[in-house]
Amino acid sequence: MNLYNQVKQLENKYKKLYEGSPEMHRTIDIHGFIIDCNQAYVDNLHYVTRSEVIGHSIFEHTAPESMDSMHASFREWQLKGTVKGKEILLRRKDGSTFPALVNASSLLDDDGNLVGSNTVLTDLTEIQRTKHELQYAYEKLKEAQKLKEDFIRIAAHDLRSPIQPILVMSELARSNPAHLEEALSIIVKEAKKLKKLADDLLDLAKIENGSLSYDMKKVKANDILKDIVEVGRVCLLGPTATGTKNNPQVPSRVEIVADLIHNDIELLADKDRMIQALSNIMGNSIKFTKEGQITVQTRILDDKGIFVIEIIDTGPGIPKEVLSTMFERFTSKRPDNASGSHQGTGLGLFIARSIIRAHGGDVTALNNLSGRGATFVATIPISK
Amino acid sequence: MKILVAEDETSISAVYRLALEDRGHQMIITNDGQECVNAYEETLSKLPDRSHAYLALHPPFDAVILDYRMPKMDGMDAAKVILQKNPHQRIIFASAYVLSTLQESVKNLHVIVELLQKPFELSVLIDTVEDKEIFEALKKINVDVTAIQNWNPTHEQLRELLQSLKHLHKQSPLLLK
Repeated sequence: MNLYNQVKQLENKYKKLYEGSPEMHRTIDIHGFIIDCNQAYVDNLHYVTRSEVIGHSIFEHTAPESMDSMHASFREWQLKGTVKGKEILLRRKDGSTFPALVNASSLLDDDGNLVGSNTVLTDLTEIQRTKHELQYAYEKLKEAQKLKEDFIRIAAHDLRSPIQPILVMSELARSNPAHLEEALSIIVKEAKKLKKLADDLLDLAKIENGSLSYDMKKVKANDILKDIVEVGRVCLLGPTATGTKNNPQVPSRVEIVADLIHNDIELLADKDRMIQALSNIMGNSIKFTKEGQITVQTRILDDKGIFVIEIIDTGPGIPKEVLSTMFERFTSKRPDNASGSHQGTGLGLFIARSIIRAHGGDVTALNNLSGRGATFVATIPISK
Repeated sequence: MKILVAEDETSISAVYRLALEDRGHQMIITNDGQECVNAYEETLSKLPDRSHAYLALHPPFDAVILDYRMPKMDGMDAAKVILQKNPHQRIIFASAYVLSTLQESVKNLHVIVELLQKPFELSVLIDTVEDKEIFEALKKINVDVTAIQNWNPTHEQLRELLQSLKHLHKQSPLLLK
């Protein structure tokens, strides 16, 4: 084989390397104009022929978002003769963009002057998609981890705090029978707190894995509301019920007023679950209302066939920072105004909203325009 | 003993009241730090002398038990106000987080307060309030504890007594034997 053939063969080999590469290759002059490229480059940028590409500036193939950083890299290359591992967005013929990794080497003339560059561009679309998926999975995992930590925190604190009075009161009742009555009422009260917490955690687990089932039946809205009002009134009587001769408690200064005018409205609902949801909301209003009244009133949004239940209290209102998160799980409500005994598990309103949403409705809270108290608004579709 | 308590959980304050009243102590229960400070000031105002020197020997309360986390005014702030009125007041913090409570009390109050880890057992509550540890230590160096109890010393006096006795004991062990 003569020298000519050898050179030809070598040239072919490198040409194939350039032409046949699955990576995008482009060759530019010192001013950034494309003087050659391979088919992968043409295809990836959705051009048809190489002539559409050659003679054009690399900045025509740069997405507007990457323009500044591309100019910076270009100047850097002009000074240093190299660009390594730079991520930019390329612009296709139709204006769409995709991420690519840029690696450029220098072309020098016989005197060693920089005259151009061979640039390899790697499409990062897949890699970035995987990265985003990974990031998403990581965020999900972090969320699950936080839920687990919240659960442990609650288990450590909220489950433990009712146990102390139960244990100590039992001990006191045994050592001094005179305390029996008071001790028992406290033990029952704290045991009920524990039961409520256990029930809530169980419901939470069911809501989280989607296994909370609903026994949907046609039910009169007012039947549910009458129960809620009753639950509320019993709850207000609570302190006197657990009070004793030695420790009389003042009667509540809160009144529940119900204005139930929509006798014929029926909802398709799981009655017990709906009562649970609305009781949780009523319970929250009662907790924070020291005096005044809690009003239950209803409306119908005629055109949408939606039943609106409003529970309006005369409490201290809801701080701004709590309003946005109060229906999320494990958030303690209205922290500034709550005393220790009021810090629930932060599950009641989350469960309430989950149940109401499962009925095709929703619930929100807002502070009253009067500047006093808050209103919970639940919307539930009317059964026709 | 005359004991002032600040605790917002009614079930827990009932524990203090029943347990310590059974031991013959006089209990005043308040529901938050503000109420507690008010009660302290009220008792203080009835004393014939409010100088720190007088209060060191005749504190308005033998002990003030403060829940650490309370609405309106927390235990730390209540302690600050009370110690300002009477730097010798014996204060017991009831807290679920004793370590951080200890650190904060040293930082904010510049005194080492006593701590009651929550949740507590009945015996621990009584022993802490009644200075059982100090009396046990005194018994070990053959001190007639009953005589001292009748004398009804403050917590501070008891602690100082124990310290000085221990000191003496170290110097001449035979003296106390």
